[in-house]
Amino acid sequence: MSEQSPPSAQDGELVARAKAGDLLAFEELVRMYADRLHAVVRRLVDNQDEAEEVTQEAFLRAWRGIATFKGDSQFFTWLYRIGVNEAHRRTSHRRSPVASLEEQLVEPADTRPEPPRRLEQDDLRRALERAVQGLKPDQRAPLVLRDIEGLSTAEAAAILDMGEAAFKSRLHRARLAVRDAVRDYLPEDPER
Amino acid sequence: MPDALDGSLTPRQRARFAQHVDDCPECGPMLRSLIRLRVALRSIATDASDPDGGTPDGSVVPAVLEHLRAHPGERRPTAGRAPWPR
Repeated sequence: MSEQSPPSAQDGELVARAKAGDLLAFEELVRMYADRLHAVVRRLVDNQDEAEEVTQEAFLRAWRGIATFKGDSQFFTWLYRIGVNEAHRRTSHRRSPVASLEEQLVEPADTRPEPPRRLEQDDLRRALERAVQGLKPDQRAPLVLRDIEGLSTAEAAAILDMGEAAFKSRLHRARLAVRDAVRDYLPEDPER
Repeated sequence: MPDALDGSLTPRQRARFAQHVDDCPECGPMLRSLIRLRVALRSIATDASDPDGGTPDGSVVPAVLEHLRAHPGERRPTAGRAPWPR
């Protein structure tokens, strides 16, 4: 999924009307993208309430600044950038409350009398969520945008204002860290 | 490896990489594990309302609209954008 998303004519029309001051058009963009942005932001901040606040603030900033949106990227790419940076602004002064991946996820081998059992999907999901939350912020955002949200490399790198090579490097490190953290929960390698 | 996962290798690069993966005792398992990871990560995309595993809340659209209508303020360029850490 490395290709860019196709341009949206509907976005373009709504953005043009919003630029002209049509709040109802912008509210339609809210309906289209608020939950999607919230899902991304939720993984970048500490809790649900903060994610909602960040999402609200991102849309307010987008509305106030939409005249500066040049349209040379997708609207949601521009919007995501505002949201991701608002999340960073709120969390950058804090120490991550999440312990290292090793501290969180590595079970002591001697406490498990049997090989790890195949966990249910809910357990895998929780392990993945913990592993993602345990990533350093500079690795977490690339992984959330690319692998969870499914944006293309080009889109995700643009949102984070990074070159693609640097983005790929950081993403790869994030993938390896998460894979190591959830290794026991993933389906077995069929070729082993 | 990242380019292979992204599907952004040229056909020639892909063929060489595939041959390497077949022969390399480290890269083959790594690639397969990262593919399984990617599938798993995509599966949680639609279930992001509460990463702690609780019941997903409803849509945030009403709250965003309420906030927007309550604070429309003066429209101006977005200010003070702090870049994501590099």
